[in-house]
Amino acid sequence: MKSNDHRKVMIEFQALEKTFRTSKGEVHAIEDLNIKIFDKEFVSVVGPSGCGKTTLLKITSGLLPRTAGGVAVNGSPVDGPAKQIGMVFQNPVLLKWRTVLDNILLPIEILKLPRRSYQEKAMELIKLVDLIGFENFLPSELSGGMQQRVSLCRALITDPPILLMDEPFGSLDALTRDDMNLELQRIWETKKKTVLFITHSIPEAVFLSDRVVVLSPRPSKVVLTVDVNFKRPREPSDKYEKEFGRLCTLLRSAIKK
Amino acid sequence: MDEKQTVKGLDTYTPIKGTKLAPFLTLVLFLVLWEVFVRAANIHPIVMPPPSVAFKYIAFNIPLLLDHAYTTMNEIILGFLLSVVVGLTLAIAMTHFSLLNRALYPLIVLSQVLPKVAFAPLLLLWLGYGILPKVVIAFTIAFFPIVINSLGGFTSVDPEMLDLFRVIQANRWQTFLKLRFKNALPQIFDGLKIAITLAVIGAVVAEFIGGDSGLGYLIIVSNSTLDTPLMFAALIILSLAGIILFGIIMLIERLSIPWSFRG
Repeated sequence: MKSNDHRKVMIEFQALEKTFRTSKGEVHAIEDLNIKIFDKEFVSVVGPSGCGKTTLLKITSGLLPRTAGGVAVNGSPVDGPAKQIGMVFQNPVLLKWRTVLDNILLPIEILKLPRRSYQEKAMELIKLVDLIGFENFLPSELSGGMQQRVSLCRALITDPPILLMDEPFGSLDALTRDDMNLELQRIWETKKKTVLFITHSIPEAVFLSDRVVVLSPRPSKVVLTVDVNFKRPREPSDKYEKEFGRLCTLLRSAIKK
Repeated sequence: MDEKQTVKGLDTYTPIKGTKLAPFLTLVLFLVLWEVFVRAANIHPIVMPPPSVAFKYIAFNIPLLLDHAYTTMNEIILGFLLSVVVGLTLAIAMTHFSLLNRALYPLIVLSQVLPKVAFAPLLLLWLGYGILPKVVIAFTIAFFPIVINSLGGFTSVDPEMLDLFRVIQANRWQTFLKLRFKNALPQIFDGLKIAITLAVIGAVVAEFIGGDSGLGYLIIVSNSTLDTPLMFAALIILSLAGIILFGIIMLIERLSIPWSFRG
C-alpha cells in the first residue's frame, strides 16, 4: 500500500475476523483482513465466489456483527447501521407499490425529515441518472438498469459520505453494464463519495477504481492490492489499452479458485 | 397511470371480448338446464321446484325475505368485521413475538379443526338466543384464513428488503407499516375473500341451531314444513348476499392494491 497517510481514512478494517456458526459447524468467512480506504477513494473488492465479499460489506454497513478485530467508519467503530452510509444492493430492492420518486424518498420518510425540502433533491438525482420523466412510474414499468439507477438515487438522497455497493450491476446484461459503469463514474465524479464496490468482474473493477483489492478464498484475506492510475474520466476505449489488459491479467492470476 | 406509456410493454394484455359476460352466461345456462330438467322429468315442486317457481316465490315474498336477509347480513358482517380485527391483531402480534407465535399457532389450528356445529348449542346456552352467538360462530370460522394469510404475508418478506430497511435505520413499526403490511396486502385480501364466505356459512349454521329469524332459520322452517319453494327462495337470496359481499371485498382489493393487478 502506498503511503497515502496524509489523507483521511474513511473505512478501516483491522485484523477483521468473521466466523459463522452453522448446523454443520463453524465457517471462517474472513480472517485477519486489513484494508484502509481513504476519503473520496473508489475501491473495488474482487475475489472468488463465496469468499466473503458480501459478508465484508454487510459488516461495514452494520448489518452483521464482526467476530473479532476492528471496523471503523469515518473514525468511529461500527456497531450497527449508520446514517453516513448509503448502500446499493445486488438487486434494486424497490418497493413495487411506490413510484420512482417515492422509492427515492423512502429514507427521508424513515428518518422523518421534511419531504418537501428533499423532493427537489430527488429530482436533481433523477436528472443525474437520466430518468427525467419516469419519476411517477412504478418499478415494474422500468428496465433492470433503470431500476438499479433508482436504487442508486435512493442511496444518495441523504448525501452520505460513504457508498457501499454489492455487485450492483451483476444481474444486468453486458451492454447495460458498460453504460452503468460510465454513469457510475460520472456520478462519482460529481458527488465525490468514498466507494467500496464489490464485483465479480475484473474489467469493471479496473475501469471504476482507484484501487482494486483481491481477496483469497475462504477464509478471506487480502492477497493483492493494485493501484489503477489511468487518468479520469475514463473512456470505454481505455479497456483496450495495453496497461488495462496488464492490470486485468495481474488481478486474474491473483484470484484463486 | 394507465394512459402512461410503459417501458417494457407489460400492459399489452387485453381481455378477450365478452369475458365479462361469461359468468352471467354460465349462470343463465345453469338455470335453464335446471328448469328443463325439472319439467322434463316431471319432478314435484316439493322435491325440487324449477327456478321459475322459486323466483316467482321470491317476487311475491320480498318483504319477508328481505326482513330475514337483514338479520343474516347483520350477523355475517359483524362476525366478519370481528374476525378481521381479531385476526389482524393476532397476526401482527405473532409476527413480532415469536414466543407468542409458537404458543398460539397450535391453538388457532385447533380452533379451526374442531367442528363449530358441535359447540354451537353450548354457545347458545352461554350467550342466549339473540344475535351474539351467531356473530361469535361466524367469527370463529372466519378468522382462521385471515390469521394464516396475514401471518404468511407479514413474514414472507425478501430478506434483502429487510436489510434495506435496517440500513436506512427504520424501526420495527416503520418496517411493519411501510414494508411488511404493504407486502402482505395481496395475501390478506385472499384471506378476506375466504373469510367472508366462511362468515356466511357460520351465520347460517348458527341460525339452524338456535334462531328465530334469518335466512338460515327460514331454510330450517321451510324444510320442516316441506315448503321447498320457500327454501329455494331463501337459498337464492343467501347466494346473492354472499356473492355481493364477496364482490365488495374484490372491489376494495382492486382499489387498494392496484399495483398487484399490473404487469
